Amino acid sequence: MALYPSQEWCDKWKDALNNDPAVAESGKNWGVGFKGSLVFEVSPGSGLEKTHYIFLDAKEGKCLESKMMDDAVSLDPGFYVTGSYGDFKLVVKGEKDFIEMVVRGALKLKGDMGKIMRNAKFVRAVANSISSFPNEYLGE
Amino acid sequence: MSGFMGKILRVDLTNRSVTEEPLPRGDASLLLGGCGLATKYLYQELKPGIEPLGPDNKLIFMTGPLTGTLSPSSGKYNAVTKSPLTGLWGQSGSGGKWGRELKRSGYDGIIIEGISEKPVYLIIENGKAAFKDAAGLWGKNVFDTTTILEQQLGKGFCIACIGTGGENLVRYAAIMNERHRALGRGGFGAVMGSKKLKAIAVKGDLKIPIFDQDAFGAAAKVASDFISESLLKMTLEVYGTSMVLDLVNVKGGLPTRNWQSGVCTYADLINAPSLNEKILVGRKACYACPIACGRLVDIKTGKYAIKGEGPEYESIGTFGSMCDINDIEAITYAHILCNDYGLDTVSAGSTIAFAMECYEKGILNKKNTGGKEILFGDTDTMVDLVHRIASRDGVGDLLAEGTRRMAEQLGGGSERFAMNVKGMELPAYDCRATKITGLAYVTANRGGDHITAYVQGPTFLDIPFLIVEENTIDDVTKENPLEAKVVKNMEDALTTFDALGACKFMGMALMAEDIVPVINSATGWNLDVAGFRLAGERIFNLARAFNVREGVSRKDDTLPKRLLEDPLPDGPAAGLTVDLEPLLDAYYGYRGWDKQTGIPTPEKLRELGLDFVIDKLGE
Repeated sequence: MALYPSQEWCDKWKDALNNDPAVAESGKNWGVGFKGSLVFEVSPGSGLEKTHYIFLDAKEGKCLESKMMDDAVSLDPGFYVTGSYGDFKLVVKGEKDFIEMVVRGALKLKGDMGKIMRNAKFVRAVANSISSFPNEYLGE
Repeated sequence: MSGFMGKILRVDLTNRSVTEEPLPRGDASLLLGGCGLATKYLYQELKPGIEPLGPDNKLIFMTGPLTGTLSPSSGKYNAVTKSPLTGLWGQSGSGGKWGRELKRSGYDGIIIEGISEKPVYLIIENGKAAFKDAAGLWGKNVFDTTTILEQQLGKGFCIACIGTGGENLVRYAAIMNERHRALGRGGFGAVMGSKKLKAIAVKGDLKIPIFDQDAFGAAAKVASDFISESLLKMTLEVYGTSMVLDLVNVKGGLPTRNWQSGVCTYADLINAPSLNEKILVGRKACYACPIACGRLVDIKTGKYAIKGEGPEYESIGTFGSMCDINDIEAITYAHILCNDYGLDTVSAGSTIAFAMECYEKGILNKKNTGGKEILFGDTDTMVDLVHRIASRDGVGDLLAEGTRRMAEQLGGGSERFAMNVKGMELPAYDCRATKITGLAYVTANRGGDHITAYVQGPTFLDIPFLIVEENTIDDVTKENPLEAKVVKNMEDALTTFDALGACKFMGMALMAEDIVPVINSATGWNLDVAGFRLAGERIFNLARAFNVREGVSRKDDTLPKRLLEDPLPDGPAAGLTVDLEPLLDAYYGYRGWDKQTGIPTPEKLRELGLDFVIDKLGE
C-alpha cells in the first residue's frame, strides 16, 4: 500500500495507467498537437498539512511521468486541477467520480476544455485508474 | 431540393382552408431553414404593430434541412410568431419527434393564419391536411388531450397541443409536443389559443431526400461519434441539465429569493445528484440523440406524487432557489403541472418568485391577492399559484400577465426587481456574477434568454462551445468590452442550430468543420465555415430588423435596475453589479450596428444580403 500523496504513490499510478488498456485505447489522440500534462494542486486539510502538487504527463495513451512536487512554479502544464485533500481523497478512494466532482465544482479543472470535451473517455479512464490500487491516507 | 421536402403548408383558420406552396429555395439556402426561413415569412407577412393575440398574427412552424435525418440530435423544429409576452419577435424550438413527423408528412413547415370561429385541431399525414372539430378537447389539458388524440388517431401520430394555459391566453403559455417537450418561451401557446387551434397531429413516412447519402452517412457518423465520446454526453446523460446548478451556485450566481442573493444554501437538496437519488427512474432521448438528457421521474407517495419528465435546470432554478423552495419533489410537481397546463416553467417560476417578493415588500397584500399569503419558501402556495395562473383564477389572473405587466400594474418600485428583459423573464443565471451574461440577456432577440448565446458555457460552466471561434472569457467578474465579441460569435453560431433543426448542445462538442460536411452532403450546398457563420449572422440581423420595425432600439437593450445598481450581497460575487454600457458599445461595433440607436446599418444589411429590410427600417 502506498501513502497518498507520496512519490511511491505517483509511481504506482504511473504503472496503473500504463497497464490499463482503457487508458491506452481512449488516449490515442491525447497530447497530439497540444500539451497533455496535468498538475493537481491539492490544498491542505483532512490530514494534509501543506499544499502539494502532482505532475502527470501523458501522450498517446501512455503516462510519461508522474511525480510529486513542492511547487508548480516551474511547470507550464496543459491542464490544472485544484481541490482540497479531502475531496481528492474521495476520488482516490473511488468513492466519488472525478467528473462528478468537477461538474459539482468541488474540483476545478482549467485548461483547453475543448480537448477535455473531445477526450472525455480518456479523462475518465485516467481518473478511474487512480482508485485501481490500494492506498493509505493522511489523517486516517 | 435535397434536405427539404419542398413544400410549405398554409393554413387559414378563418376560412378553414389549406393550401400548399413551394419552398422558397433561394431563401432556404440563404437562411438555412428552420427559424431563419420562418423569420423571413414573419417579417414579410406581418405588418408592424399588429396585436399578437389578434387575427393578424401568424404562427409559423418550420423544420430545418437536418430535421428528421440521421444527423445527431436532429429532432428539432422551430416556431416563430409575434410574442404576446414581449410584443416582439418570438422564437422557440422543441425536440422530441414531432419535427421529424411533420417533415416526413411532406411539409417543411406550416404557416397558420387567421382565427377559427370554433375550436379545431389539425391532422397532417403524408401530404394531406384536414381540420377536425376540437369542441370535445377544449378545456382539457396537455396530457389528456394528447392521450385522447393518440387513442382516436391511432399509432404513430405525434401531437403538439395547448392546455388550458394557452386557452386562457396566459402570456407565457407553451405549445407542448409529446406531453413534455415544449415550445416554451414567449407565449406560443397563447397565440395558438387565440386562434382556437387546440392541437396539430402529424404523422408521415415519406422519405427525406438526401443529396449524397454515402457522404452524409459518413459525416453524420463522425459527428455522432464525437458526441458519443464527449464530456457533454458523459455529464448530460448522467445528470441532465440540472448538472449546472452547483457550478452556478459556487460562482455566486444562482438567483435566490427572486435574485436578492446569488447563493443558495440548500443547493445540495435540489441539485442533480439529489434528483437522481430521490426521483429519477429513467432517461429519455429526443429523436436521433446520442445523449438522452431527458429525465423520467416518479414521485410515488405524498402530496406531490406525480410521474413524468423533468425538471430541467431552469425549472429547478425558477421554482427552486428563486422561490426559496428546497423541496425537489415540490419543484418537480410544479414543473410537471406546467407541462400539463402548457406553461413556460421559466416565466411561471420567475413570476411566482416576483409575486413573493412583492408580497414580502407589501406591494402585494391580502387585499389584492384575494386574502392569500404569498410567502417565499411556501411550497403549497407555489403549487397553488401554478393552478391559478393557468386558469387565471384570482391573483393568478395578474400573474398570467408576466412580470413586466405586473410591475406596470402594481407600481411601488416593483419594476426594479421585475426580472425580465423586453418582457421575457430571465433564466436562472445571475449576470452580476458573470458580467458578459448580462450582455447576452439584453441582445437576445426574443428577450431575456439563456440559449440564444448560451454564454453560460464559457462563463458559469467553464465549458466552451467548440462550434464557436473565440469564446474564451478571461475573468468572468469583469466587464471586458473586447469579450463582447464572444456574445456575437455565440449568437451567430447557435442561431444556425435553430435553422438547421438540431440541438444547440451539439455546438459544445462539434466544431463548424464537423457540421458543415453534414449540411452540405444533406443539401448539396457548398457552404464553407465562413458561410455557415455568416448564415447565423444573417438570421440574427433579420430578427433584429423585425424588432427594430416594432420600435426596438438601444433604450430597450437593458437589464432590470437590480442587476445594474444593487450589488450582490453575499457569496463569491458579493459587491458586483453589471456595467452594461461599455459592453453594449463594443457589441454594436462588432455587429456593425449604429452605436447610438442599436439599429443595423444599411451597409451591414447589404453585406448580409438583407437589402429588402433597409427601407423598412428607415420608415
